[in-house]
Amino acid sequence: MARITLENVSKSWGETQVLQPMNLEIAEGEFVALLGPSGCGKSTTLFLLAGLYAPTGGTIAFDGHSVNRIDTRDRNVGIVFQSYALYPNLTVRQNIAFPLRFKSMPRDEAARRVTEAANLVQIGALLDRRPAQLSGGQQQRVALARALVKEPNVLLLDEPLSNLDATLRTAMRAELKSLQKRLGITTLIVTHDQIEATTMADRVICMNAGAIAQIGSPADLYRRPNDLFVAGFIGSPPMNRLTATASDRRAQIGTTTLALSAGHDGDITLGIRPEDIALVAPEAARLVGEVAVIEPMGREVFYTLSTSAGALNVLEHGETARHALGDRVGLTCKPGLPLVFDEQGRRIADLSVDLSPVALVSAGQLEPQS
Amino acid sequence: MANHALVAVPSTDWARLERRGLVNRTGLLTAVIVFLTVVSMPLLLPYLWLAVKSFTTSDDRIGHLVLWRVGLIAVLAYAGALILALSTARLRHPALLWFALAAVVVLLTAVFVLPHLTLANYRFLWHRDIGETGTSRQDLMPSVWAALTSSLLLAVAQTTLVMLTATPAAYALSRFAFAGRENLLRGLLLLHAFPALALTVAIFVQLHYMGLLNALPGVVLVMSALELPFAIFILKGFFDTVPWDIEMSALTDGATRSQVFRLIVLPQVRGGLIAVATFTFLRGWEEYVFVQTLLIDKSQMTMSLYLFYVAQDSMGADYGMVAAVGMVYLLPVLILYVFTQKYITQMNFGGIKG
Ligand SMILES: Nc1ncnc2c1ncn2[C@@H]1O[C@H](COP(=O)(O)OP(=O)(O)O)[C@@H](O)[C@H]1O
Ligand SMILES: [Mg+2]
Repeated sequence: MARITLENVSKSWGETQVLQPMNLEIAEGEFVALLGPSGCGKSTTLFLLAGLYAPTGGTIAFDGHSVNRIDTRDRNVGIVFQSYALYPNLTVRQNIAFPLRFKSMPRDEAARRVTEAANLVQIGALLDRRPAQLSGGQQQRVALARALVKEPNVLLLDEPLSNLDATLRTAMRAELKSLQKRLGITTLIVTHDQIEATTMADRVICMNAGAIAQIGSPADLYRRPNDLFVAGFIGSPPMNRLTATASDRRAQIGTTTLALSAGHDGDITLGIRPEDIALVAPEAARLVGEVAVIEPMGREVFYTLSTSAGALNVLEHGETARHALGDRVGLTCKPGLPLVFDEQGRRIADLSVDLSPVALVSAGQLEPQS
Repeated sequence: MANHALVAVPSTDWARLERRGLVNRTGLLTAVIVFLTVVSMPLLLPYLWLAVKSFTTSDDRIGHLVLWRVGLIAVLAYAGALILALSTARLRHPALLWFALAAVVVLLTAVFVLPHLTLANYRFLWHRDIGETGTSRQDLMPSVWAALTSSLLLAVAQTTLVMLTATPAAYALSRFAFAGRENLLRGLLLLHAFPALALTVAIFVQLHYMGLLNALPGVVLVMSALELPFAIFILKGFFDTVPWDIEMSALTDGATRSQVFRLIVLPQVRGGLIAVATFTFLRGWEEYVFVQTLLIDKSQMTMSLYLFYVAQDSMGADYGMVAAVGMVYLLPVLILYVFTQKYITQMNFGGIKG
């Protein structure tokens, strides 16, 4: 088990820089997820940690010692590859025992550890099969057992669940999480699925185009995204975006003018999650829309509303729709929301737009509140 | 439901469709069997003829008689096997019937063919004076065992050399991106397509200056060099099918590069190695032109040369003996194929990709 530090680590293939210099600290025993779209450099980061790739610049350290010059085979990392990378010419038992071949270890000790690792991931009955005779889920367990049997300093998982079907994925998610907590191994899981990242990890590193966009707890990334990329990548259905123009303490959205909590000038983007919007009577809201699509989803109803500022998605609790197609409804939300992003897409902390419900002073008259 | 028959729905004649399906299926099967049989005939007949010729005296009448009888028995056996194979599902003791068929074939052969056969054509196996003309040709012709040994030495040495060189070369070409890799691959194909015969004179002169003329090692070197491009190209295709992930995984498991190669990569291309080794061996075994040119001293004669000299008798060739030598020449190849054909057929989906 190790503490991992990345200091200005970057990677280029020839001319193309795949990873911008990145800094990162992973505590001993922590479960961290590396989240980002396909091709953003997640696997590259993982292979840098494993020593399969050499960094172009920067230092990778385990427990404070630089491992830049340490061979892969001496780093004692366990990897589960996306393809599982089982050795087809070996049985499951030989696959799991493979890492122990290179450690001077008595035979019975090795056999005991193989059985132990196999039982840990519940494949004790499959030890004499070949990889080709296993289902995807079983292959994945074998790969996990092979990574765990050497008691690695760090466990690296490269999209381990992406080749499993939906039911199995949900089950493996919970199992991986509890296994990691039980063994206490420093673990880095790579995924492009935000649900996997936020459900399993203590901390999520969100990557975009070879750079870290944000590091934080799942709640941090969900509630306080640094920028529009993180805001859009985390959460399903995705956050609504409305473009607006701010001048002094007012924001113009479509035909509606809303109050800003502080002075700001320029183009801004408002972000609000579908489940944070409450639908009220049109007179009670500052922003009004018309119901365009209704999709009952069981526990919730998913509405698409058209407003003067564009289409908005709303998720409302309840098994049946409370509004009909074509109804005019008012949109409100809690104070502090929506989030406001500047022209570069960065969130402006402490700035918000007022979408709170209107206190009805007299019928039909809208008074801005402050 | 007469009251529902407002629209006249043509009723489906299921029985007719079923008959049609049956006819289609049997028709296809018949066509396939007939086609395969007809195509195999010209391929198999020469072998049958060779075998019959090698076991009969030079008397043409007896030769024809045996050929006809063997042919008839073969047709009978084939028809019997076909009937048995097609009706296996309906039979209660198929194994017993197969056994009976085999017994009938053996019996027919023993009664109608065996009395006419002779081993005289194979006398070269234990008798060096093959012409039975005294001693005059004994100095010219080595024993067949020496020729077999030479051929075996040549083929084995060539196979070993080619495999030891081509395997690492193909691996490097498959795995490492280096300058000129594409051109090297193109060059390999070109080299393979190059008519090697055009080089005979140059090779002869070169071997002369290297002092390797008239020596088996010289021929081995030349043949290996000519076989290498093809072997490298095919093996590269096999290495390409081994995923990188597996090697990276083995590295993180603590193996060195060479351990990864030996323990993980090589076992996965085993079929390819066996197939390429088989082809290389056969190329050495069958080689005629270069041994003829480069081995001047006939004491190191290979089987291909031995066959040629047996056929080149000034007194008129003894075709029975030529056939017998051919059989001896052929036998090791057949045995090799029995063991390796499984891997050779795999080459279809393992091997050839750029
Ligand atoms: N060996 C390599 N040579 C050149 N480019 C590479 C190599 N490996 C990865 N890349 C590039 O680096 C980028 C990041 O790849 P990767 O780390 O595999 O992404 P991810 O795992 O996030 O999907 C991709 O654009 C990919 O094309
Ligand atoms: Mg990847």
